[in-house]
Amino acid sequence: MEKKILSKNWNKINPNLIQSYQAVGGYKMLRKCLSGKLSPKTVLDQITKSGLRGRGGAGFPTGTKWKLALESKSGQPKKLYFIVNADESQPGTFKDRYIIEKNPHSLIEGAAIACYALKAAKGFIYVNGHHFDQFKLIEKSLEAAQDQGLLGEKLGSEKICLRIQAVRGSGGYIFGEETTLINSLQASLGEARLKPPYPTQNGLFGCPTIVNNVETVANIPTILEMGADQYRKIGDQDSTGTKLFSVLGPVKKSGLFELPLGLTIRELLYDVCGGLQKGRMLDFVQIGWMGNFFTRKSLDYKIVYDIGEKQAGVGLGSVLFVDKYTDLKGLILGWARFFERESCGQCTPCREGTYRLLNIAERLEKNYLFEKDWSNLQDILEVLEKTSLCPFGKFAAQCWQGIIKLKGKEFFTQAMRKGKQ
Amino acid sequence: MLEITIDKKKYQADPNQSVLDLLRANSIDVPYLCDHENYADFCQKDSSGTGMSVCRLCLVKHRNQSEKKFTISTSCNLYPCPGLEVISQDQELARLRKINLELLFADHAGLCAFCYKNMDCELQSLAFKYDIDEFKFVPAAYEVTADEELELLYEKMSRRVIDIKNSSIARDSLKCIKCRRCEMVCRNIQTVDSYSKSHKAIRSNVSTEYLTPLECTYCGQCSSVCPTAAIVEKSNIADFQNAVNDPNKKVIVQTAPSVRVSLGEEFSMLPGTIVTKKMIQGLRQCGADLIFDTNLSADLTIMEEATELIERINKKNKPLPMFTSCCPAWVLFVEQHYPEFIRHISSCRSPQMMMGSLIKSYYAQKIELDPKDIFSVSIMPCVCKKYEAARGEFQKPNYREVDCSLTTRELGKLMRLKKIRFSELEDSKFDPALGMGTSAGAMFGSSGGVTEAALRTAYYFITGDNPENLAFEQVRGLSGLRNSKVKIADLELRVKVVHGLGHARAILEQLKKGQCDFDFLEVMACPGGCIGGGGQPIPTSPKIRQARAKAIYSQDDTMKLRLSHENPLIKKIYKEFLTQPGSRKAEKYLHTHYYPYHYRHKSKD
Repeated sequence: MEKKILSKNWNKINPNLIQSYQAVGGYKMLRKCLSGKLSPKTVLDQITKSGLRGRGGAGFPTGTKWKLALESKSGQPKKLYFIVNADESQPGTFKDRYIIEKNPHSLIEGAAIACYALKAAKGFIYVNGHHFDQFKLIEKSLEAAQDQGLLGEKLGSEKICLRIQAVRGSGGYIFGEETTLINSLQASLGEARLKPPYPTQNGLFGCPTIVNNVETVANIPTILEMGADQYRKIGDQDSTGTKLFSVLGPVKKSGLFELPLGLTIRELLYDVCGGLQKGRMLDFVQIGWMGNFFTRKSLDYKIVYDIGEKQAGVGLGSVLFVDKYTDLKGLILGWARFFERESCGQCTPCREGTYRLLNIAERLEKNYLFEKDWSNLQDILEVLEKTSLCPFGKFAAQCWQGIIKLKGKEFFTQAMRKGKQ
Repeated sequence: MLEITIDKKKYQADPNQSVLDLLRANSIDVPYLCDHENYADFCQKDSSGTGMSVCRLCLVKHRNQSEKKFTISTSCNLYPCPGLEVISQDQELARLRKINLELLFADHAGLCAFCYKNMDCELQSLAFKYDIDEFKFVPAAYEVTADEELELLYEKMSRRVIDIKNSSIARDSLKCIKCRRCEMVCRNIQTVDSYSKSHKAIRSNVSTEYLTPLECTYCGQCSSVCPTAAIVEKSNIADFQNAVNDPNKKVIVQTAPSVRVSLGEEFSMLPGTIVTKKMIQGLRQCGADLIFDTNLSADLTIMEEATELIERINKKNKPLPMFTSCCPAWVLFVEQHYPEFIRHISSCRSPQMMMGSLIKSYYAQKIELDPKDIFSVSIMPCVCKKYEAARGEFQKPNYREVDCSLTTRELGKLMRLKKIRFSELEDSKFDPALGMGTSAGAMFGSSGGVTEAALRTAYYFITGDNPENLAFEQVRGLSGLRNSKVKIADLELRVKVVHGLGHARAILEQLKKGQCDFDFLEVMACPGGCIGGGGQPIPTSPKIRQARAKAIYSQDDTMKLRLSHENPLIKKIYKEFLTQPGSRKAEKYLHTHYYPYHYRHKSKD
């Protein structure tokens, strides 16, 4: 079932040595670009044609995003910046750090090709502040690439300038949101900006900016190597290619898998992960983002980007199998703690709402809910979903909404405090 | 201009103004706590910055022509486009607004009764209007056990930061709802940038850099935009009342020119109502023994400042251009940010300090009273005057020249505390000893007034004649920056009038580069001058500022005495006490010195 395209060289090469990557054909595409055999337009066309979609969760077509930024740049004396978002911090997701740990040069090659194709003034790799080892590795790899004449000023016959800098973030979930990441990069307060204007129009220092996920960027050299037509054949019609899935839960085989998009949940559970551990019974699966729950009845849903009939959104590709023995209240408390901690505190519903949700979750865990908590919960979820400033608020609401949809009101009414009310 | 639909009615909209501005202009009621109308015409909104539209209360539903479904978004960042359809009132919107308000109020539950701004608070009035449940998200007393209650209390208090180290502004983080208006004003309009958000999530707080005590220019604009009592003026009401109750103290009050046009608003009168006589009677009922007019010392300031300006031009003893010195926040701004320009500031004291000095020297001698038995109070539209009154230069060994300064808001509060029915008060007059000012002094209240008054007197000093047309219209108005040239005999005087420290900073930056095209610079730190001061009644909006300015200039049209040098009291004071403008004695009592800020404050440590 596994299809190794992105991860084909993992565990075969030494991530610390650039020569090791070059020995298996690495940096071939970048060298082709630098020697002028691959024009920026070809790269852009190939990426658009391949149907590659943003691997950061939203699934926005990468080619379209690049074109939007190039359009808003054209005719203006503005620079264009390219940012690789390596601020992975959603619970249960560990694909980006694996890419960096196993093969940092594939990321750097992808970023360099993107900078070349977009004629970007500078590229940044924004690494989560808590991932210190990965940051060091990236920095070292960048230096190595520079020594090899793959990055820097006046490269190749056409004197191309490719500059990429690794930046260490301050380590927070909200920095994964692109506008917040941009604010953080330009030393502003780590808070989400209002959209529109989108970063492709007005991003870093007011210039058009493209923010792409690590996995998206790491896919670029592979796509160029195998050709867009070949890449399109993998996966589903609108969700092409492979995706890294980080699987957690009481299954026989958990961890990171590279799988073609469009597989069903059943295939994922039984063919890839080998089914549940002995004596466990599946309650529900969470895919992509918190609150995207699927029960046993919907095991035949296809995992793709678009949400439709018999389709499950893939999001970030994180999969969590939850069985009947899992302490659901503890799980909710964990999520509530996470969102309360990671909210940036800018807008009212998110700052106050996530805190009140945590209060409710704490009481829920102790089976000590107030009678008003049930209606309060729904009120908070409504304002979080409808009025929060950035998507973070919606994520915070989704996990609760998923639980409510799954378990119904009884789950909460059973946990009411008895006696004095 | 394009046409958009709001609640099925057509409106003409400017595409550069947000829908919220349009709703406000058409008096359609939408709650908001982070936007503020005072600064709409004054500066462009921050396009990329953070802290914008954070309260999420001004929600509307909208759709374009092409869309079928309405989407909910905030109106402050929604800009009109052709065919936009907006719904501003709706059951769902009302519910969402209410829940957000309840979330904001959850931290405030049960605190209103002790609050400084009780019954005077934007959040509270919205809470009343939307009929919120105060204890919706916080367990009420009957719901929790005693232990739990203690825990909750501890949680609230552990995040509290109180900053009352300076003499002007008091901050209390417990009351803060993180609307960040103060941050916007301080950064975008005053460019002092003393506030920013610290911490994250529920622990986030609007604070100063490195959480140090507030040290800024104390213009007080933050206190006038704060919707709650998180930032308020440091109250001196208790000091005033103690002095009134002390039989050994004679309480002498002076009132600033712009207080009389705005105090009425504290008692729900229309903006721009002139309430001089009622204010005096009200002050007498509050226990003041004597009430003097700061207009008189404003006239005195004009005499001294005009003399100094002419001296600077003729003798070239001090550098040109000359800056005015009547705004303490502006003086402090130069001392803090541009100490190299200190010698440009006129050495004249501000009207408040001139009156304070006159009361404790000239008047005390006249009535044969020890200066320390006089309690001198000033009623000012400004919170920085509190800082100015506490400055080291104005502390004498056993007394202070101005013992305390109250803002317009505090005076209103004091009168309400004393249960004074303001509109039913009888008329009263200033005490004659130091209680007569001209309309030239009264114009100090508005931006451009100092320049106009100074020009009139300077004209007289140079030519020996009064100008034919007394109104120098070119320096009036509420635009941020005004230039004009005035010809007096052979002298062409180039004057510049600025309000708002952001504009002042731009000019000083130019001056730093050597681009100087003026001789006289008037700066008022607050938008619109003292009429938009940090201590003025809340709210202040461009319309209200205009009304107050109109009232100030209407005084100028009706008053007989329109020239500072023709004020008989001024003549008398110079004859009896100060000899002449610029004399040794005037220097001692009416002038002061300035120091770079870090000198003064480093030596203290």
